[in-house]
Amino acid sequence: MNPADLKFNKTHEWVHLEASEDGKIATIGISQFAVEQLTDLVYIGLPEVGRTLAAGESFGEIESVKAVSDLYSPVSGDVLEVNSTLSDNLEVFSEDPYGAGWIMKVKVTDESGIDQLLDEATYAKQCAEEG
Amino acid sequence: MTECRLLNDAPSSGCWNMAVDQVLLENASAGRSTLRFYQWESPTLSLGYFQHYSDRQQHSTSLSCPCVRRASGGGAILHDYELTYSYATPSESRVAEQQAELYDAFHESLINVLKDFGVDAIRCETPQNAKSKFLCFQRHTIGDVLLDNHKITGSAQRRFQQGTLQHGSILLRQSTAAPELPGIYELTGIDLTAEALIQAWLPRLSSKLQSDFVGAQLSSNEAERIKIVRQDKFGSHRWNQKK
Repeated sequence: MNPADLKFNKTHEWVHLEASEDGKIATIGISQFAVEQLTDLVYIGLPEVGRTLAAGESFGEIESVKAVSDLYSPVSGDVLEVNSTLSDNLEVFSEDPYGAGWIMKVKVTDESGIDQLLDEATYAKQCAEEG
Repeated sequence: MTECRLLNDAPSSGCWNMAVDQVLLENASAGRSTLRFYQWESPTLSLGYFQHYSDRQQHSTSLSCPCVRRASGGGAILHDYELTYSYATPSESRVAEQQAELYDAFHESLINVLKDFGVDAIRCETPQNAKSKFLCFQRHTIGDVLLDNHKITGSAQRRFQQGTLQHGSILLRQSTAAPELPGIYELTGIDLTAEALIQAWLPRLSSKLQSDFVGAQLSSNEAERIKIVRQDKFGSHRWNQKK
């Protein structure tokens, strides 16, 4: 996916929204900046399919260099699918963070808050200030 | 300089110690930094957040010890003759932004303090067994504190959106529950007490963290919250055996 087509959480998760017959489906991952900051990833905890998430709620954890960081959902909805191949293949986050490194797909149940997500340019500015 | 609460707790159980650290992290998310020193009332095994509970079977000398799962990462630690610290700070705090900077703030200041006691420790620059060993102190990662190629101090973090917790252990002496890990005493003959180390370390930490430490006690609200977190989380099989 092209980062220009994505929205970003301040906490470094990205989301790609697409329309389906049942409403919007959000594909969610973590940004290249986050992957570079975290460096050596060793474990990821994924949510269960069917779990209902509120925007801003922690949906999983990722460990790097002995630091466990929570991951936060950019949208409210139900988890439809998780990328279960990630646990044994964490290098994919570095190789393809906006493609094969997707973490979960969520059926969006409440679109309020989506407007507050950052576009690529605004997110890049935030990263520049943090980095 | 910013103000930072300083707690120096009596030895307690593993589930209590981890519950206190979680509540301090919750308070950090609300804008309050705390540095805490503590010890353990009996030899206790703590597992890294992602470690499997069943893996403790591979470490026979600690099988009779109580076990608690940490919220932070890394390998298992046998807490016995050690000084443990925790530092909880809001995420907007500059030093919390980069995880390596926070490890270095504690480890580099500790190395300098140990020199004052005649202990010539160094910073680990070459990773070794970074993931493969069960015990944290048999994993060497960049930034750990080494003495004669034995790890004597390691730290781990839990990071939330609004706060960061870092806690770490300084191995003062070998434990019979982890006899493969020599402490400072076995490696140097120097009998360093936890209290002496705290008093010598504080001024250097104050400078590194740009913080004025203010001695404090847990508030009654915190104590109530800790009881709940201990009961519902760190004292429960559901948490400790979740993986």
